[in-house]
Order: sequence, then C-alpha cells, then structure tokens
Amino acid sequence: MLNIVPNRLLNRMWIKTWRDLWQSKGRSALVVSSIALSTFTLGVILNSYAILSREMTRDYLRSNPTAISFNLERFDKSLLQELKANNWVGEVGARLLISGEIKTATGDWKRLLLFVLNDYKDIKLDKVKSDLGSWPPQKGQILIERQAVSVIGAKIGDSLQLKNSSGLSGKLTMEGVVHDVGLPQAEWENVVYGYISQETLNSIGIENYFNELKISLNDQQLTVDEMTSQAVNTKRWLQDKGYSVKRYKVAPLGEHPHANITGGMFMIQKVFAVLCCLLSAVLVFNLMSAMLSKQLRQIGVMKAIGASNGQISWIYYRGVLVLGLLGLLISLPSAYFVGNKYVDNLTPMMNFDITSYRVPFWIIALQILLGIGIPMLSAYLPIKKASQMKIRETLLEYNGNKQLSEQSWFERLIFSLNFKSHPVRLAIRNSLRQKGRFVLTTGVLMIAASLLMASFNIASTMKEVLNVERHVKNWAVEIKLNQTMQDDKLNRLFTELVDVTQTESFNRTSAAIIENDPDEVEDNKNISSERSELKAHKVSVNLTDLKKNSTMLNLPLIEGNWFDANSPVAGAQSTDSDNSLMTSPVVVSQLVMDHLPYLKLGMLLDIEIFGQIKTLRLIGVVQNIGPASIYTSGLLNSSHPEPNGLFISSDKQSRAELNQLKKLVVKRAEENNIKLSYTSTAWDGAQVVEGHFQIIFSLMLLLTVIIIFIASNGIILTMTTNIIERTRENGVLKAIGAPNKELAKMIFSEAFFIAFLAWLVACVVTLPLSYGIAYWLGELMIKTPLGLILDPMIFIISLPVMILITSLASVIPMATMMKLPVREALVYE
Amino acid sequence: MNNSISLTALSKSYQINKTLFYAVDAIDLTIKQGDFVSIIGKSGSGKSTLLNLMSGIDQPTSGQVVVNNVDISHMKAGLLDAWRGKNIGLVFQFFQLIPTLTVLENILLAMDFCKVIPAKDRMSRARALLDKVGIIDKADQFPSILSGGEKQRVAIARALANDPPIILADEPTGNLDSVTARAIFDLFTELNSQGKTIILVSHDSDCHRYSNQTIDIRDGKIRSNIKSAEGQHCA
Repeated sequence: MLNIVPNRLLNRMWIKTWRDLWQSKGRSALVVSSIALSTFTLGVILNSYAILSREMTRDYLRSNPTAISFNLERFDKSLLQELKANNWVGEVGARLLISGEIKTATGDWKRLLLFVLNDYKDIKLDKVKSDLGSWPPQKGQILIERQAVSVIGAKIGDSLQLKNSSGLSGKLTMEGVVHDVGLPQAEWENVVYGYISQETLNSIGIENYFNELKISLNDQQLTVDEMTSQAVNTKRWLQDKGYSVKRYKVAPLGEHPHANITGGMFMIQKVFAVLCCLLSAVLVFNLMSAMLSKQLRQIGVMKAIGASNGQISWIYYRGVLVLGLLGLLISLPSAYFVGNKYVDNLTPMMNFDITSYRVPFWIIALQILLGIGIPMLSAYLPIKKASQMKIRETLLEYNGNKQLSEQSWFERLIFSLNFKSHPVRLAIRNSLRQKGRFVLTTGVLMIAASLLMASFNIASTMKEVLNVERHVKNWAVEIKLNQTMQDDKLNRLFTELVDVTQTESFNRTSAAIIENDPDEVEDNKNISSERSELKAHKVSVNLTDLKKNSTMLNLPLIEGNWFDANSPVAGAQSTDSDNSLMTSPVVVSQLVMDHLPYLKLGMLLDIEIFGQIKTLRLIGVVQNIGPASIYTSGLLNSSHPEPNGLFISSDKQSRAELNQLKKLVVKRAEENNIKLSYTSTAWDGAQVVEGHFQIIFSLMLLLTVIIIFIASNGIILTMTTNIIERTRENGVLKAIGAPNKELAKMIFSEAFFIAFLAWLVACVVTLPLSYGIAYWLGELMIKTPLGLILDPMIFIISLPVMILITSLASVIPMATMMKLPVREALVYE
Repeated sequence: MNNSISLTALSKSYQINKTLFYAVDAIDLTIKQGDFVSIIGKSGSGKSTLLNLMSGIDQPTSGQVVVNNVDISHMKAGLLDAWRGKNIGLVFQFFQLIPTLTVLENILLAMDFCKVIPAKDRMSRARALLDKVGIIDKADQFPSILSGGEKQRVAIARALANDPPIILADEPTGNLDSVTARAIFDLFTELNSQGKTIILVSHDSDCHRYSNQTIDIRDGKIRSNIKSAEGQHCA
C-alpha cells in the first residue's frame, strides 16, 4: 500500500511525505476528520448564514415592509390619500386587525389575529401572497397564514369557527393558505393569523373600517432616530386631525422581525465554529509534534546528507497540506449540501422562501484558507523546532521519548497523594511525559466537558425561567373582558366554579410612557429639569392596575420594591387634577427599562392612561416575559372603579388541568353573555419562550456533540501516540513479566487520569462560561440576564462520560500493542 | 597532495554535573586528499565526536576545522548542511536509511536535496551506484527487508550520491558480521583507490589493515598517528 501513488509522478520528497502520512494513516485520518469536521461546521454555518440572511432580507424587502405603522382607533381611506400627498411618504397602506379566538381541530380555542386588507389585489405594503388554494379571499372564506396552519390543525375546505367580544362570530371556510413574511412565528406565539375580505367582514355584521396605518418612506437612508422623529411628527399630525393614536412602531429598514433571534442563533454557531477550528488546530499541532518526534532521527539523516531546513520543513508542510486538502475535499461539498438542508429546515420555522442557494465565493475561500491555513499554522512550531534541531541532537542523542530527570511541581503534587500501585504511578508519569501534548489534549477535553456542562446548565436555567414564569403567577387562569363589569358580580360569577379557590379583579389597558415630549415640556411648567433632558417619544406599554394588597403576582424583582400598602410613596407629582393619585407608585418590566434605559428608581414618569397624563413614581423593576408592561396598585380605583379582567386561582397546577379550568371559565362567560377578549392559563406565557429556549438548547447540544467528537479524535490521537512511543518500554515490561492485564490497567489509568483532570478543570471553567451564556441569552431573549441555575447531575454524569471517551480511545492502540510479540516490541524504532 | 582536512587545536567539551568533560582535547591533525584514515579507540574515547566535528555535524568548542580549504568551524547551520551534502558522504553504524523510501529512492533523495547532479542524470547515476555496491537487484525494495550488509551498501551508495570527495564513516561495520564487514572494507578500499578520501571510525582492530593512516584516540587526545606505506593495504 505504500506504493499507492505511482512514483514516477512524484519526486522523492513528495513520496516521503505521502508514505509518512500513509504509515501513520490512523492518526492522519483523525486529523483529516478533525479538519473536515471543523471546516464542515464552519461551512454549514457560514453557508446557511449567507443564504438565510440574504434570502430573509430579500424575501422581507420583496413584501415592501412598512417603515412606520400606527395603531389608530379607526380611520377610513380618505386618510390614506391625505398622507400620500406628503413628499416624504412612499406608500401608504391600511388594514383592520381584529383579535379574537378561533376553534382548533382539537376543539380548543386559540388566539386569532384576523386581518382585513383594503385591497388584496393591490397590496402596497407588507404584501401577503398566496401559498395554496384560493386568492384573494372571497365572501365567507378565510385564508390562514401558512405557519399558523399547524397551530390550528386545519386543512383547506374545513369550516372554522371564530368569535370575539366585539361581535365577530360565525363560521368561515378555510379556502387557502397565505404567506405573510413580516409576522412573528405563529407556532412560537401560539396564535393563528387569518385573512378575510371586507365583504366577509360585513356579512358577519361588522362595518368596514381600518385601525392599522402603514407608511413607507421615500428616503430609504433615514436612521432609526430620524424615522422616529418623523413618526412622532406624524402622530401629532394625526392627533391634530382628531384621530386617536394608540401606538406607533418604527421598523429599521430591511431588518426582519426575526433578526434578533436568528442573530442570536448565528452568534452561538459562529462561536462554536471558531472553537471547532481552534480545537482541530490543537489536534494538528499534537499530530505534527508526535509525528516529528518519531521523525527526528530521519530529519537528522536528511540534514547529514545535505537537506536544508527549508527542504525538510517543506516535506512536512506538504504533509499538512495534503491533510488539509483531504479534509476540504470532504468538507466543502458536504458543507454545501448540509448547509442547504439546514436552510431548508430553518426557513419554514422562520417563514420565508428561498429563491437561491448560491454561496458567496468568500465563504468557500475562507473555508479553504482555514482548512489549509490553520493546520499549516499549527504545524509551524513543531516543524520549525524539529527542522532546526542540531543533527547531533536528532541523530545521536534523541531516542524518541523525553528522558525524565526530575519531577515537576505538578508531578510532586500528584504523587503527594501517595499512590500505592506502581503501575498507576507509572501510568500517571507516562501521561505527563510529553507535557505539551498532555496540556493540549486535556485542554481540548476540558473544553468539550465545560461546553457539555454549560449546555445542561443553560437548559436548567431555562427550565427555571419557565418555572418562575409559571409560579410568579398566583393565578391559574386570567380573563380579560371586552367590557368593564361590576367587581362583586364578576368575582362571584367565577368563584362558584369547581376547583376555583380565589378570584381577584384587575383593570388592564394600554398606556404610554411619555419620553418628555418637548411640546409637553413647554405646556407643563411643573415638569422637573431632570426630565426635560429626555427625548420626546412615547413607549407603548400594557398597564395592569392591581387591587391594593394584591397577591396574584409575585414577579421577580430586578431592583427596587413591589407595592407596599403600608408605606406610601411620597413626593410624586401629577399633571392630573385628581390629587388622590399624587403619590402613586409604578413598577415596570425589564423590557420597559430596555426601551428607556435612562429610567432610575424614584424617577417620576408621565404616563398616558385613558387619554390622561398621570405622573407616577418608579419604585421597582420586575422580570416579566412578554410585552413591555407596567403595574400599578389601585391607581384606577376612583376613575375606573369597574374592572375589565379577573385572575382566577386554583389548587390545580398541571397544564392539562389549567386548560380544563380555562374551558370551564370560557363556558361560564358564554353562559352569562360575557364577552372575553382573551383567556390564558398561567402556562401560556411560558409556552411562547419555551419554543425559543428549546431551539437554543438543541443547537448548543448539537454543537457540543461536534466539539466532543473533535475532542475524542484528540484523545484517540494522544493515546495512540503515547502507546506507540512506548512500544519498546512496554516490550521491556512484558519481558520482565508484566501480564497484559497489568499493561491494560496502566493504559486505562492513564486515560482515567487525563479524563479526571479534564473534568476537574471543566467543573470550574464551566461556571463563568455558563454564567456568560446565560447572561447573553437572557439579554437577547427577555432583555434581562438569566440567573444561572446549575444542573448538579451533569457535573456527576460528565465524569463517567469523559472516562468512557478516553477509555474507548485507548482500546485499539492498547490491543495492537498487546498483540505485538515481545521480540518485535524490543526492537521497535 | 593537497590537504583534505586540517584540524587545528580542535576541542569539544561538555558540562556534565558542573564538571567540564573534554570529548576532543586540542587535536591538531592533517589528512591529505586521497588518504584512507582509520580512527580507532575505545568506547567514549572521542573518536566519533572527532568525526562529527570533521563533518560539521558537531560544532567545536574551540579550534578550527578546514575541509577542502573551507573553514567549517563557524559556518552557519543552513549553509553547513548544504555544504556537507556536496562535499562529504556520511555512513553510519545503524545505516540510517529512510524507512519509507525504497533503496533507489534513498539514493535519489540525497541527489534531490543537493541538486549537484542534473535531474535527468539522477536515476541512471543512482542505479549505477547501486550496481557498484552490488545491490542493484534490491533497488525497489524497502530497507526493512534488507540484511545489515545490504543496508550498509545502500548507505555507502547514498554517501556517494553527490560524488563527494570525502567519505566519513562512523563504525560502518559495527553492526555487521566479519564476512560482511570485510566486504564493506573492500568497498571503501575500492572507493579510496578511485580517489576518495576515506575516514572511518571503528572498533574493528582489523580496519587499520585497510587504511594508510591509523589514528588512535584516547581521552580525546591523539595517542598515536601511524602512517603506513602505500601498498600495505590488505585487499
């Protein structure tokens, strides 16, 4: 097999390179696989990143996304014409968004967001396109967004029942599936998006109007601040014209709504890809060091017969080049193929279409550069060291194994543990012989172990976040009415239900925190100078006004305090004439802090509630998964004494039990002709983020498995090299009577020692690593760092996993060594 | 006859446990072109170190090594390797063939490194050398299947690959039986007769019978340097 390449085609240096690699083909294969795996991982990530980011943006831009959108109480077409007359306006669009509920195939009611577009044949902004079936929706038909089809579990031709508290009621036939690229993922949000015509709307008794105003800009170069400024001006203009503006939203041009989560996923993938490259570099470094230590005598001979350092170096660089090219030969096509498959799997989840799988040339060039460059760089030091050794050192004195002269501090520390068994002592000393190799191998294994632990620590942290999210709610089911209702009556109605232990009403409405609008500063002389520095925006929030001494929410405090009825906050001022509100405190969610990072405890906030400005003092920040929210305690008791929502508590805990209770609640509401705008169980909020967390955890685990595979290659390489290098010594041990069992014990002790040390260091390293990932993920996903929760089991389980990996890595070289007759082992060179 | 190798006050010392040990101690020696010199002495006497200093494998602590009018004592390592490939053929006790190259390729590799022989002539020269040392039939074999004597013949052929004027051999028969050893000595004698300067280090007490100059080394110093008359070679 040594002559596998025809000699005539190669010069002697190439032949030597090739045969050296072939002779240590097991080790060469490990390095090729590591190079292939790292460049493959990098390739898949970069290929998919390039395709997804390009196609996501392209598909999103193709829909002509809205730059500024407004939620108004209502408006008609005439407003569109007026707006279109402005030269800064590109296109205008209008639609009606109605929220309600839709019955799924399983009989559950799911949240429905129903869109009624102005003209389906000429959609100017946020274009919706037909994916399947009928288009545009005809009278009596409903089209479902393609991602929501799995949520509702329906198929074309099914009759779907829908309802809401505003009079929307009846059955519509699902006649088609549409694609709306700009919407949040229906599955993650657990919501159904439906599209109907204005005729259908009329047929179910609702008049035509619009409540969503969409505008694109002529100037595509505006910054977010400039766009926001334009939005604020437009909002004032709308208000001046008598329109009631509930909220507005500015979307950075071309930035897909999913960019945040995909950015996070790609960040994780990129970090792992870089790690893969570094770890494979360590493997190549170890291989080259091991190969060259066996080649030192030959290097000496070649120098003695006239080879220059350059010629010798080039022989070995060729070897690395061959390994790199072989790795690339495997990784380039497979990365392209798997990258495309990965993209195919991700796109349905992210809800956009791919029109081209073209991979930019720079990605292929980068893979080639890294596939060859990293091994070359990692081989630089061992090759330089070997080629520059003096002939006498290589030829006359070197015998392949480093001779021990005295113990290092580390060995003295280890042996202070007083190992009784001499074979074990020898095994430990053997593993420490090649210190560089030992450190790198243990390091790679340690990184793999730390990542494994970190993945499970993050899973544990995520589980805890979901658990907290569930248990911060002391209620089981929450209902929001479409109208207000007398407090006593509302409570009494639902307290009588089976399994209900307690009820408590609340008042929920949308509100806006005013970011010190300059106009309002001028109008209001009482506003402090501190607040006048702030920008002139409004941030839309959900306000929940709780009962005094409410125990229904137990949200984790990030800073400050929750409401305390016994210690009223003093000093708050109000622009409102109602003096009873003068000292009212407010608690905000972390998402509010993310929008308004300048907020500080004790600061006075102007909040627009029911069209009035109320000034409240910020007393606390809480962690809450979901939209930006603020909480008050008894704020609206006097102005709006009738609540519009109810918390319903129960001893029941499981998802199934709470869903059952929810059904009873809905039924009771229907029986009493109470229109509910929505109902949710305590688990529903957690379900939205659970999907996000699951994806992140699966991704981390997958990438960790790849790192473990590379680390396993490293340990196989090291154990093989260690055993081969000591072939003659093992022959001597056999010659002086060591049975195979003792030799196996020595080798497994060595494997155990490496695994144990890697695990021990990993237990420490994983702590800051896990903390960092948890912090970053929290900031990315819920805008607040996640508090790290360690998973004790993974610390315990990872030790036997590491030992298993190192032991398995030792089996083949050990078996080969044992089969070698003593005579051959003794003359092994 | 010109001087082939000239050693002046040549010393090589090592520090062993704070004690300075002289492997070669102030040696002055001149070897003429075309000489056949055997260096003899007990193990540890310094004969191999002396040979290594002559070939530039080792650098002297003090003194001078001039080979074919080139002072190699302070030559840079890179230049020295290239110079050695062209000027000195080395033969080792343990043959030191590259195990992953065939016999023929081992010879060709030496030519590839030095580029003294034009590329088109290398193959024919390598075959001619193998023929000369009597192992042309083993040209495509790997060294591992050759006998000790055959390996040493390959090593000699490799030493001649770039047609160097000087052949240095360190214990070339140390690993061979007496019959094979005699054949190897005969080969050196033949090369010497063709004008090559041969310097060999050996334990073999018979080796002086082939050389025209015998240097006895003890404790790093020349104990005796006996030149015999031409024609005393035992063929």
